[in-house]
Amino acid sequence: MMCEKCKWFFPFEDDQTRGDCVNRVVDQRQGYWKAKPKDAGEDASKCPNFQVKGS
Amino acid sequence: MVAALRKEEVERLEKEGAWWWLAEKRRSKRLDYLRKAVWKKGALGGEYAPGIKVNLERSILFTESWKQNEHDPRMIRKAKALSSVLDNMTIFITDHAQLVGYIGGDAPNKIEWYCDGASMINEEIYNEHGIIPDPEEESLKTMAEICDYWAGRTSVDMLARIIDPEDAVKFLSGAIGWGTPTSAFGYSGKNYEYWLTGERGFEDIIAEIDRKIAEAEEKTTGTPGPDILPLYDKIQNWEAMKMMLEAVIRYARRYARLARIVAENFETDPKRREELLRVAETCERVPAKPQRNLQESFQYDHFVQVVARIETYEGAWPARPDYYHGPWYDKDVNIDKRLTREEAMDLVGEFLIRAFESGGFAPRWAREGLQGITGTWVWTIGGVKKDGSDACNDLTTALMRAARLVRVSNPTLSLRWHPEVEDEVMREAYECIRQGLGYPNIRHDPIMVANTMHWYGHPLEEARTWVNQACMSPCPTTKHGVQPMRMASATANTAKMMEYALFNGYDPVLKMQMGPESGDARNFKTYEELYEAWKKQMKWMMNLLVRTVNLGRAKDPEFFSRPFLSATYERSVESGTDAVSPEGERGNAWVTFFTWVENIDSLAAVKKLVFEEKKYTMAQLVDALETNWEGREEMRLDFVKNAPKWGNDDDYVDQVMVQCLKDVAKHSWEIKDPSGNPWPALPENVSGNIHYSNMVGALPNGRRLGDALYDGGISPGPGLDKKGPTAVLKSCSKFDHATDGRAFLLNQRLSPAQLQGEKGYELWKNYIKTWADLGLNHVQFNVVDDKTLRAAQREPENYQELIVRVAGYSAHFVDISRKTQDNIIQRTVQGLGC
Repeated sequence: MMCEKCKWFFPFEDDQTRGDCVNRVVDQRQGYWKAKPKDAGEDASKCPNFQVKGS
Repeated sequence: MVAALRKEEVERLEKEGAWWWLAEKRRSKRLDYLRKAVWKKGALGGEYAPGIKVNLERSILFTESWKQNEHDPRMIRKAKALSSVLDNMTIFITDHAQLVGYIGGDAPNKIEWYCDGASMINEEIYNEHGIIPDPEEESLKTMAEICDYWAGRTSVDMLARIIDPEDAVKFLSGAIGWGTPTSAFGYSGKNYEYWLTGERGFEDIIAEIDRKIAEAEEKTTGTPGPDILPLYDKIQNWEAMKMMLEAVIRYARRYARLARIVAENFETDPKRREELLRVAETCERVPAKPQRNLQESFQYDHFVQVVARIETYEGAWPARPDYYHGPWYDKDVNIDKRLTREEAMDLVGEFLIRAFESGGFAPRWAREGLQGITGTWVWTIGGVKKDGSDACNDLTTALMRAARLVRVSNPTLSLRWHPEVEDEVMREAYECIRQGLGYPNIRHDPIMVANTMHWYGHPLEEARTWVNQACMSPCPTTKHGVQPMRMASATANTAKMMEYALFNGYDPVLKMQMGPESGDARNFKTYEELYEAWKKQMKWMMNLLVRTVNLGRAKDPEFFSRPFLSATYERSVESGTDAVSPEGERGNAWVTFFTWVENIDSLAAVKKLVFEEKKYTMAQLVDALETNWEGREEMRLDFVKNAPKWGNDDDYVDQVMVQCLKDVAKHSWEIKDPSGNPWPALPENVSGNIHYSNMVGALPNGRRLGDALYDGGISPGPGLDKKGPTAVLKSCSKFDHATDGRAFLLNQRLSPAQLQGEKGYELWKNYIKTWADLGLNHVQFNVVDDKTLRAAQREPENYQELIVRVAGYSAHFVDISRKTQDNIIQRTVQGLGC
């Protein structure tokens, strides 16, 4: 299970080995979208947000 | 669209003075959402609110890079570390936001941690309860590793190794001043004239740097000689600046990318999708290229502010938003009409909220001295252009209307008053004050321009660009006028001057010798002897604090450095020097004087009751003070009630103020900053009057150890000004506000009942006219009645947006300690027209 297989992973246009992991968060005060750069090949087996692309 | 308010409801809320409820009903849905979305970062009476956590990302990424590049010159090493942070940190976009960029990490409830600043602050963060992010055990392990790495390596650690040990001990005692002598914890002016005028984006600055490097490299590969040697370091500095600019362009475009991803993949509301695409377009454009509209102008400015605060802790936010963004407001709203006034108001209100939500971890002494806020964001509006003509524009008034809608305690506004300010602007200022914001404060522009020219020789045109560097001190935004570093450690707890004069330099609270020996006050036979002792302590205190700051300043390029700030400073780009180097700067240093009027009232009391009326001997007085007036309440009350007090137009005590300020000003010219400029004094307080209340002992003005000190600047002691507001102004007018110091803070409290209708406006306007005619430089107002304040103490949940002016800043009343709240309630309510 790697990040690049996740529906929340968006590869960079100029470097497909890296991309943004985008997540939606709603806390007590606000909703927001966040992004953090990840390697496409990073192990996502322990990631609670992992969802297979297309699911 | 805001639902139409029933007239009766509006009248009821106005009559009750419930401005915060009215604001909630009047602001747009977007502003209401964004306002309520904010996690307050200011400490509540010194403690962080539940849910606030410290951000670890910056420290993790910064430290990782720092370790990898240990052989690089400092500026390059710093630029690489900051670039790594900007490239890899989590970013987020809040729902309904049109402006992006956040200081403090991966979530809106986080505050920033600057691990490279001071080990003692790193230790404090590690041990602070409640702010360690989950999972706590794992976070503490990570923090311990980071703290261990930086122990001995931070900017303050390095400074501590070379500072005079006696100076260090006395400074660190916390008794005579506060702050840290490094730009790791200070605040910087911004050279807006260089990058925010619409003529220059970061790509233009990169092109300038490339030209500089090319010219330098031609020389360094040419004929050898001593003149080419400095160029090697300069080339490194330029490379570092360029690296930062490129990193910030990438950072901005990360937001563009995220906005597009959300718009194209997740957002179902077509209007919000359009907004996100506009956010994307904005972030693609700025700061790489100059702005073309209001949203881009605000966003450009905000990106620079955010990155400057990722680079270091900034305890203030010098800005002149109407002057620099006003032309874009005019273009969008009035000329091109691409924005309605309501749409523009959403942007203006959000611009205020974005500043309000920012904050870094502050050590406890700073939290107690700045209760409820994370720093003094005082935005300067109004004033004049460089040619002397009125600078007010539509955005000047829009900012004040937005302030009334969003009711943030930070930023506050500071109106540069001059004789040509139009009535419309004054009415907006009046409405803000009447509705209890505590701002704008009013500054006398001609006096402040003259002041800036007098102390540092800034030319007239440059002086006219001035902004509040923090709460009060004017600083130009120009190439040689802008100040990159204002370290809070040139802040003096001046009540100690009086205490040490009475106890021969000994601190009776700390129980150690602090100041020089100035004579056993029990043996003083004349007032002049006491005054000479006071002058000796005054000079000693100013000297010690300024020595510390000067050293910190001179060593800052070596011990800290600021590649990003340098990239936005014209003189740095031109010369290839670090912005924090004193080279090329015209100077803007000052010593903040906390707890100042205690000196005046105390000296006057001793002069009268001991030396003139001979009611008491000096020995009796010193004995009484040494025992905190114990068993001598009648004597204490004599000193409270029967000695003249400042603020009553009484020459007896007012001339003591005049003499003290003259002697301080004289000494200010004798002590120099690293560029050879003077260090004038600036009496004001923030909430230092509460923070120091347990550190200053009994004094001849009648105070006991533990009593709140006066609220600061040249404000009379609470309840001690008994002759009305004009008498206060007249007292304050007896010295020269341009030449006798840097600036002088005056708090005044007005009655809401008086400020009603047209009559209220006329009363206030006449007051301002008197203030201006008498030549005062500053005044600020609290307009809230005791009943409301007491109700807020009982039911804080119903008064979350009630704001008070503390001193050099405003705070939400519910965010300050009970002692500070009571101190504000005690302030005299002035009756205008009396």
